[in-house]
Amino acid sequence: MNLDHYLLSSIGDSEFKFVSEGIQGQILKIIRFSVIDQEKRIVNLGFGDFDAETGVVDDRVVSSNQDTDKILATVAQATLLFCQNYPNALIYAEGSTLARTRLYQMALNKHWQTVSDHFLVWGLQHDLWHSFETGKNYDAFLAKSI
Amino acid sequence: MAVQTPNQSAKPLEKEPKTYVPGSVQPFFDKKEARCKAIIDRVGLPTEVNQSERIELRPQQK
Repeated sequence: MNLDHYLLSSIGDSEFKFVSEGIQGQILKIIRFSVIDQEKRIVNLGFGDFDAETGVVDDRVVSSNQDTDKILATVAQATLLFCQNYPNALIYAEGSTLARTRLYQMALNKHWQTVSDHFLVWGLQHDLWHSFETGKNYDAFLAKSI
Repeated sequence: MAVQTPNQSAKPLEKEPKTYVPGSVQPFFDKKEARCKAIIDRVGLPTEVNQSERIELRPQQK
């Protein structure tokens, strides 16, 4: 995917890490793909900051590193890499807050031309899945590599 | 008057920074996974997803 992203390190075939660099310094980010349902091929995409003090991953922290676009492009890149190994996976993604979900949606809108070259994407709206359309609000997303 | 020297032993030890353990139990991920499962159980899959493709998720043969 031709978007500016951070260098990813894979940890096994279902986890990745990368370092966000910005005005707040370096922040280690962890991406985990968790198989939720083997038969339905559902895989949850989770990512957050690793806190070296507590040893805990969380994404409720607002890191304010002013590199959101680059972070989301890195997560998209990790999703592509994961899907190379699991091409029939359906990747479920949702923000931990409504604002985060909107942020993901805005990134999808902005880079839809690129994203749609690589993924089929559905958006969840009133408990129904719809093919993703830019400019519409969704509660969660489901993606499958093409 | 006695000169007071800093009590070195009273200085709190700095905590060793932790490193990420791959696959470690992380409540954040557990919570997200439980929510994902609950939503998929409730709403199912998009109708466009070919039901015949419902094969087990397994890694690509290399």
